[in-house]
Amino acid sequence: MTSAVFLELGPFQWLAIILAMGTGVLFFDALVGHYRHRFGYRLQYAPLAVGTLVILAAVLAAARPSVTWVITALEMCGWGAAVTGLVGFGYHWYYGIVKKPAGLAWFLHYLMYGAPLLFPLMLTSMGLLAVIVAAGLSGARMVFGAPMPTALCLFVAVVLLGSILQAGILHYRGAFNNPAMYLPLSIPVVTVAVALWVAESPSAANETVFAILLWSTLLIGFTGFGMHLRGIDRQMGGLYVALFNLMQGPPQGVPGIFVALAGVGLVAVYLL
Amino acid sequence: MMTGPTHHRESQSQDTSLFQSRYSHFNVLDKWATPDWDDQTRDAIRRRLEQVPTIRFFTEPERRTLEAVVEQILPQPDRTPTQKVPIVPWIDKKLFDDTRDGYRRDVLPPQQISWRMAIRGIDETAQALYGMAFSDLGSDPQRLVLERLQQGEPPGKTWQILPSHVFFSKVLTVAIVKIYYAHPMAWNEIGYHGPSSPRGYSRIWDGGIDPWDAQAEHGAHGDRS
Amino acid sequence: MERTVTGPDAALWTLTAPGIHGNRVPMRDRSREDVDFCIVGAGAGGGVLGAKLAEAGFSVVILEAGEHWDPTRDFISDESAAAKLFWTDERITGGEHPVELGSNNSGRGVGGSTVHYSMVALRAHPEDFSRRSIDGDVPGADLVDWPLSFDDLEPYYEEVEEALQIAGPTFYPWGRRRRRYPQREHELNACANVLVRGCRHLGIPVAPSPIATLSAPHADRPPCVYRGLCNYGCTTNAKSSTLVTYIPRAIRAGAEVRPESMVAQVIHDEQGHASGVLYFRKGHKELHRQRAQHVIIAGYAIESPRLLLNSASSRFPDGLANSSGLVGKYFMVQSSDQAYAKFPERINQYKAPPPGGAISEHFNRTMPEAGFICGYVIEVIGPHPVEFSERLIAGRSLWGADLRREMLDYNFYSALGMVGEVMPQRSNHVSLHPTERDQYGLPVAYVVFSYHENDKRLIEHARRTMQRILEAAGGTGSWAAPRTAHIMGTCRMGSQPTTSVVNADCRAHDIPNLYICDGSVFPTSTGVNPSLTIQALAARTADRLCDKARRGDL
Repeated sequence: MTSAVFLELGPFQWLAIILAMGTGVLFFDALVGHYRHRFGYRLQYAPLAVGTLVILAAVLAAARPSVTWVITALEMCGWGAAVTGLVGFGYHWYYGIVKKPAGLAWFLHYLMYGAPLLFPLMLTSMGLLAVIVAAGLSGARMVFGAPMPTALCLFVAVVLLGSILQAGILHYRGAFNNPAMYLPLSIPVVTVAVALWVAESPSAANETVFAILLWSTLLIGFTGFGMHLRGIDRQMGGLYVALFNLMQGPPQGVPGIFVALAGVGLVAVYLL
Repeated sequence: MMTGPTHHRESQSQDTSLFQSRYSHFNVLDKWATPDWDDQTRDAIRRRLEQVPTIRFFTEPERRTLEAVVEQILPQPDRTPTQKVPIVPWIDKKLFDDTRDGYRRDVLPPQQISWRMAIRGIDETAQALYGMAFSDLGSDPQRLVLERLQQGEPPGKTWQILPSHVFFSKVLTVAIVKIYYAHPMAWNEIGYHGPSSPRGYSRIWDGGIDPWDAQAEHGAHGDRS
Repeated sequence: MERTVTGPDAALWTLTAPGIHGNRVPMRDRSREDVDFCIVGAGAGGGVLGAKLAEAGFSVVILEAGEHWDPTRDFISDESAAAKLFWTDERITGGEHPVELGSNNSGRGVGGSTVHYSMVALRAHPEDFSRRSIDGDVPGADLVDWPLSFDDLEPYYEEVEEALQIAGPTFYPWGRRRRRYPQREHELNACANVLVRGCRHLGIPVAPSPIATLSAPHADRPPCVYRGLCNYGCTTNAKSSTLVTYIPRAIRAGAEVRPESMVAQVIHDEQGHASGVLYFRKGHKELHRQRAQHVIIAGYAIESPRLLLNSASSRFPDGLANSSGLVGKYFMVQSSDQAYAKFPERINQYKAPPPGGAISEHFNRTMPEAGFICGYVIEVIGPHPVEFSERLIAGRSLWGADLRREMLDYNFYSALGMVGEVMPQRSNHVSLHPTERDQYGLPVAYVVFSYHENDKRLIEHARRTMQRILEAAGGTGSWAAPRTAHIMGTCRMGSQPTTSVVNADCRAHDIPNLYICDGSVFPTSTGVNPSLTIQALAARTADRLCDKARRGDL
């Protein structure tokens, strides 16, 4: 793969934009979810603070890709987000499941109703993406011990798998009341498998297949956006009780992670 | 229909300390035009607040006695007479319309008879114990008369036919609390959120307070649930 | 109700009925037909039967004494204003432990008690159907086995759970192994968390509770919004009452649901077969007649025997279906005492469905060395202010300044409730009051009830257990208040006409085309909330009727 340009932006500038968008949707869901719990734990502000910094750094990096301090800032914010996500995961695990009245005895129940376990790890992933983007913008061809394209494919595979699992848990909670709720558990699973395949041994053939799957995953992500929005309207009172249904209804941001991950994969395929 | 009835606010009169509410800033009527109230609920509560019935069933002496009884069962010494939650008019209406509860103890006659008997019996007991009508007694003797009713077989001819402890605990007190705790002022004082439709609750866990709930006056920031 | 003439047949009118979204749906007027089935009561049993029989192609009329509710207009978010949902016509109660009726257990209107019930949707256990064989004879009570088994009902439990989209846990630890509930359990409210904490502390198994309200959208109904006014009519339409599930199905399949029609009498022909009913229509002074090939009575355990007794004729001087003399006898409730305690954090017990989402069936079995047979379920309750103040009166004899002051702590209280099995005693009964009459001139029901010694010991055990749980969860100053829930038993089911009123198919022994299908037919009370069993029985009865029709035996 050689580095190509699309609409006058290089691959890592595109990745920076995708990073901003992906972090943005996580920010939104964290805001709603933590507001629902009234920021009872001070650290619930952390993902919002860190998320803001990552978005700012990512936008700057897309606009000024060769400014050194911007790249450094992006990398620092990336590590910050990665750590914040891990701490968040610990909190979600401990306070969202273990410390609940029935604890691990009701594991499945709290997976569905306690804090969404894998959301903080999505923030960690965005943090790692920021580190990858920073490395790429400073000209590195390898990151975390792997060539750039391989690293990005592995990134897509792992994070997409986690997103599928998280969507699966929450769609299970929703009893798959709409057939579209099976979508994130369908094609994206194949996307994960093919991403690993491409990472292992890339070829023109499997990259084409990968691209098709990525476009499908992208479409599924957008469908998710639409369905989740519709989900608010399906609740009693619809938009008349917007804040309430926002807190109670489907999370409006996370379908965007599927869009973001598909975007990352497409950048790896087309521009690297 | 979207403007609510006049907001009731507690005002300082005698003895507010006895019933100090935790929620001094909370007023369910503030949510009149929010998604917590729907049209049919607004209609019903508006009628409850604005259409307090006139006395048509009880005679004036009966009404006077009953007012004194009600003030003992559900005292409102912290409110002026015009601020008090009206109770006797609604009991009167129930009896005038003969709206029933769906069951009656076999030892009690129908409600239109039993209430008149009970009021008469209360005066008989007051006469027997203190030589005065119930409504002329001071607060402590009034309370003692009612305690005798609660225990059963108080002095008085009527109580030989009407079992006082059944009437007291199953009819009299129940009718009074049914009216008092259906009033927005009572909801305010206990922090009961009141109507909720179409909007429900999101923070249903321990310590959970929704933005539209009665807020904690003191206490921790946020939930740890 | 609009009436328009359709077609050339001037006798055929078209009505409309309320839909569940503020709309009107078309409905046929069958008042002049000799219908296949006339069902008395549009509640748990009547709704299921109406839907299944209409869907099988029969002509069906369901007569209901109360109104046909429009959830978007008729349900008021207020405890007091909900009085119209309950049977407020006079009934007399007596005995050593007179039962509170009205809003406690008697619904009125299309949907019946499923409009105001707390939606706990439990299956009875296999043992519940053979109490006599398992626990033996109890002096002073007439324990019997049901004439059918759990196996007979199991497919119908499944069918009704699917139709109502019961929201329950993926693994339910009690009863026979079962498939997953159609929807996932609900999130727990603070009161349910109290039960869970207390049970875990004491080592008592506890699980999410299966309840009949949606946790996810289904068809045209949205999920529960946790507004907590379930006992006063669900404006969300998440609650799976018969009103929004089986009744719309019945109407779509051609049944007529005729509200504000109080059935006064079931009439019969010279052969002693039921030929229809006589009913009072609101606004009309005279009795109307609905002719029917078969009559199914589903008025619940007080109105059903009352109707049978009021239908006495020269041929049946003791009332219909009463050759055994048992119509109205063996009246049972379930003990439903409640325990309360105060907590340091806000509980706001009025939020979310009263069952809160948690339950323990650990004690729902005959426990060795307990000193009593049968058992009880521990559930969560969430009384609103009026109800709560009544509990303070009943449980602590509070009134005056003490009461008003205690109510200030309302938001810090959490409560548990039990549903306990009660022994069938012949001396507990529903009869016609000798002198009292209702607004139609019909003798009112006289309900006499006293607990059996076994019941009292069970209640004692349950109260102690509930208070221990509350205290283990951090509650202080626990106390308990007496209460009962549900009614059943007054037209008991059995295989012998001398010792029962109906057979396993809910058919009256005495009258081949008369059926009784509601809580009245329970020969024993079971230790779980009865609604799911009532609906499963109704579903099974409908299938049995269809089988019979196919064989030409109807």
